[in-house]
Amino acid sequence: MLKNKLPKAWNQITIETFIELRGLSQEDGVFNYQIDVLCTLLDIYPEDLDDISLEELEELLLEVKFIRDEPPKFYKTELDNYKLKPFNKLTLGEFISLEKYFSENYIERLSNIVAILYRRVRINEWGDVELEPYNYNSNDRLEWFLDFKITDVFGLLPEYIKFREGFIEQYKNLMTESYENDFELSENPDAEEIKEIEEEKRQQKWAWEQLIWSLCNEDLTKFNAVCDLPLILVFNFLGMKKELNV
Amino acid sequence: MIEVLGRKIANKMNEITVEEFEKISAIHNNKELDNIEKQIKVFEVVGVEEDEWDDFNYFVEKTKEFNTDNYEVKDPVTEIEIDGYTYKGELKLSVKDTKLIEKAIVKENKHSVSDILAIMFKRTDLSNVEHYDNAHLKHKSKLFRTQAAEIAIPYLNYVTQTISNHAQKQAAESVESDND
Repeated sequence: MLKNKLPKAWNQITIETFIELRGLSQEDGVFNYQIDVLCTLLDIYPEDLDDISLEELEELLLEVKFIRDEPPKFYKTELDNYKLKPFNKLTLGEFISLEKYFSENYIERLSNIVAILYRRVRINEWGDVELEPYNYNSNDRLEWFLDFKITDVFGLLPEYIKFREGFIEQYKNLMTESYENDFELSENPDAEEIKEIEEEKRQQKWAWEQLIWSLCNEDLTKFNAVCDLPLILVFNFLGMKKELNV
Repeated sequence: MIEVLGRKIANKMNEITVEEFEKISAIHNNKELDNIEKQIKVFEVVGVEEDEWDDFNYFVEKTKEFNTDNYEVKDPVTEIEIDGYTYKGELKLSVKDTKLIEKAIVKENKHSVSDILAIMFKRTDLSNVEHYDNAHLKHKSKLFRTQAAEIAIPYLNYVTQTISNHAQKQAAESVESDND
């Protein structure tokens, strides 16, 4: 019975299935979307549902009505051998990577985000728990977390967004103006305005690289060392520089 | 039929073809046209060109006549013979039919009515696999465009009702779920 194979709640849905579900398109109509949802949840092909009646289909959809809501906003601080890195301990490099994934599509990029935030640990020579450094590419770990439940990590998203908003607010005087605002042209932009916007976009595109470049004293060999600095330390330092104009 | 400029012009559902019905429906759904432009184009579909209208009052009179509601509800046609083959239709939708029909409706498709008929009428000598073959459905859609539009009406009503019932059930369950 297909009904018995369906998950009953979000805690039975893996990260992989969640990403697939949220990636489904409704361009072929709601009915086709519902079929795709069931196929994703049952791991079957749409043709496998061709022989059931509409009433049976409606019964199946009733079983999974929970997917219309968001998953509960829980998260675990440990996933097997991986430990969640506290947001206030993020490095500049980690923050920049997370910015990239959140600005692209944080559902599609959930695996990348999780791969940055959950880290392997070891006990160092002082007996303290030490998180592995961020010297890997999160793309190489996309598969690692796909089988965990979405309820193990989903709450991280709003929590991180809250942290990010607080961080940007705290250091807003150090952020470029365009960091917070979209580039918007007036109704009838003249050539100068278009040029200005283009320049802002160009600056924005390379904003992080420019920041790191200045912190490296234009010495590219120090790039990784700067990226490994704690985010909050970097911004406190930038704040000091700005306030003292040094 | 009505008489326009001395010619017999089809206006009833048993007189216009499925293809003409599709064209007329597309004109009525075109939001860029005003009502007069729509009616001029509708008349073009059934054979009266725009430059033939030189008396506006006559145009208005013929428009009223053309649009007189004269459709009589009839039992659905369940069997049609075209080119020596028999096609059987039923007011019944499987999940597969509904999927295909929804795709035919949702996509910008000027032949959605004939596509729906092609899905709902099955050639009696063919298996299900052949029936749902894409090339066969396209071919059948072309064949049904030449049939009288009145054949389509009960099937369109049934499809609309079934899909809207499904949507309403889902919406009702969604509200219940919100109140849980």
